[in-house]
This record gives sequence, C-alpha cells and structure tokens, in this order.
Amino acid sequence: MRRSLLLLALMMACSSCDKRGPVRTQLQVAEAELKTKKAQHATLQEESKAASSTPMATGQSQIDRLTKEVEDLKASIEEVKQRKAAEEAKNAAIKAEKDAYLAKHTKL
Amino acid sequence: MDGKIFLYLILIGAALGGSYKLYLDQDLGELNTKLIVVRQEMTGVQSQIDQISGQLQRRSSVTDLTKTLATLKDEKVRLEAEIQAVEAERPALTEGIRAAIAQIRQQTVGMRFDELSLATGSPLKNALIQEVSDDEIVIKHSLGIRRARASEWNADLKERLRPGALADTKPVADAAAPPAPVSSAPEGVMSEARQKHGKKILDAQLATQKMQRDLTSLEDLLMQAEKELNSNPSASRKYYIEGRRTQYAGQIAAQKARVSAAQDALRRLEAEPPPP
Repeated sequence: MRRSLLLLALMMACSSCDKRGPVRTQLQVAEAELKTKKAQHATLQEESKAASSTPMATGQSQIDRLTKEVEDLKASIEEVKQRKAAEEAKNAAIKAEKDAYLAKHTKL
Repeated sequence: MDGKIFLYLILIGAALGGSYKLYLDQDLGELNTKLIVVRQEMTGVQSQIDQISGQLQRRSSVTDLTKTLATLKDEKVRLEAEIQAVEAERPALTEGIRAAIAQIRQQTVGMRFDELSLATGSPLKNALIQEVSDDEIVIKHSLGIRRARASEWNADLKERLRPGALADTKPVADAAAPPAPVSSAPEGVMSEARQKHGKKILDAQLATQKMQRDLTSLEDLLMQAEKELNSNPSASRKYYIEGRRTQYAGQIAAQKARVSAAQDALRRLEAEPPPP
C-alpha cells in the first residue's frame, strides 16, 4: 500500500515531465521559424526602402492602365506593320510592272 | 515506530510530489502561452512580408510594363519611319516606270513594219515610225507620211507606248529622219514643226529643272540624316537613320544619272537646228 502510493506520486510527476518535452520542441521550432521570417522581413524592408527612393505609382489601377496601354500599342503596331506591308507591296507592284513592261517590249 | 516514520516519509514525498506537479503544470502553461505568442508574432511578420512582397511585385510589374511600353513606342516610331522610307521610294519607282516607257518609246522610233494596222482599220504598208510623242506617232509608209493620234493606235501600240503616261515630257524623234510634213495637213506644217521644236526644248528644260529640284531635295534629306547621326541618337534611332541615309545615297546616285542624261538630251535638242 505504502509502496503503491509512492509509485503513484512518482508516475504523476513523470507524466507532467513528458508533456513539457513536445511543447518545448514546438516552441523551439516556432522561434527558429520566427527568426527566419524576421530576417526575411528585414531583407524585404531594405529592398522596399531602396526601391522607394524612385517614386512610382504602384497601385493596381496603375498596373491596369499600363497593361491596357501596352495592349493598345501592340494593336497599333500591328496596324502599322500591315500598313508597311501594304506600302511595300505597292512598291513591289510598281517594280514588277516596270520589269514586266521592259521584258515584254525590249524583246521586240 | 518504524511504521509511523515510513508514513511520514510517504506524506512528505506526496507533498513534494504534489508541489513539483503544480510547478510542472505552471511551467507547461507558461510554455504554451509563449508558444501562442510566438505563433501570433509569426503570423504578424508573415502578413507584413506578404504586404511588402506584394508592393515589390507590383513595383516590378510597373517597371516591366513601363519598359515594354518604351520598347513598343520605339518600335512604332521605327516602323513609321520605315513606312516613310518606303513611301519615299515611290517617286523614284514611278520615275523608273516613266524612264522605261521613255526608253521603249525611244526604241520604237525607227521600227519598221511590213504592214501596220491602225484602229481605224487602214493598214499602212512598209511603215517606219519616225517620231513618238505622248499621244501621237508619225509614221512614214508607202503612200506618204501619216500622223496617228493615240485613239487610232492598235492595242499593241497602246500597250507599248502607253499614251498619256509621259504627258509632261518631250516627244522622241529619230534624229536621222526628222518628222516630215503630215500628209493630211500640209498647210502651216512648217510653223507647227518650229512651234513643236520650241515646245520640246521648253518641256525638256522644265523636266530637267524638276529633276534638279528633286536632286536638291534628296541631298537636303541626306544632310539632315547626317546631322541626326552626329547628334548621338539612341541605338534604334541610329539604325533607322543609317538605313535612311543609305537609301538617300542610292536615290541621289540614280537621280544624278537621270539629271545627267536629261541635260545631255537637252543639250542635243538645243544643238539641233530649228525646223524652217
């Protein structure tokens, strides 16, 4: 009876000890992760500070506006390319007409 | 007595064990609290990281878009300049066709035909083409000399001589056999021939002057391109200007040859004695 009581007291103490172990491990992992995140945060803050030396509007509306401008310009360039091709075709037609005319009539 | 001592020892052990358990529970609670705080702090730092990353990413997007925009604008300017260069070639090409027509007309003078049919249906035997102008040819044939208007030419002649194509230039005549009086209109032919000769010279002078003006314009354009090249333009602009300069140089060389040929022709024409 007496020995059983002593054993019970020891077991209770040991079970409490066992519970602290995993929590400590979790805490250590979380602290290491926090340290890494803080370092990452500091690096990003440095980058952000360096980048903000050049003032620039970076809102989503600005990105949307620029994207639209780029798309419009691409469409416009396509039109200009087509116009250039048409002008080159006109020149080629004139050259071809001249060559054909000379080829046909120089033989006579 | 021994039993009492043992009981006391057990009681003391139980008290110590209970106290230690209380201490351990408290320690565990503190560890849990600390873990929660660390996790909360990590969440906060992560949200700040996300925010800064988002800002940097947007900044990067804006920078990329701005660069793309500048490149596209440059490309558009380059393409428009290339279109202008292509359009600038047009007058030279048109002039080339005109020169080809003039060359063929020149070759036509002196051509002989056993029988030349006109659109009016009258065949001319032993026909010799003596003169070609923009809307008229002079044909010497077995029965005399005939001046045929463009409306009378057959389809082959029309296709070959292209009436109306060189309305502002002088007629081409066989120097060895100057046009004779026209059989259909003998009266007043001499004075008409003299007038025509004067008109030829005037036309040739005007054409030569026009070619010289064109040459001067091209030389101005070349000088302008040289100046632009000396003003340290951007790489794409430099590429475009160099292309333009080469084109102008080629056009100038061709134009000089044309001017020289026109001046020679004008000199020959002016040296010819006027018809009586």
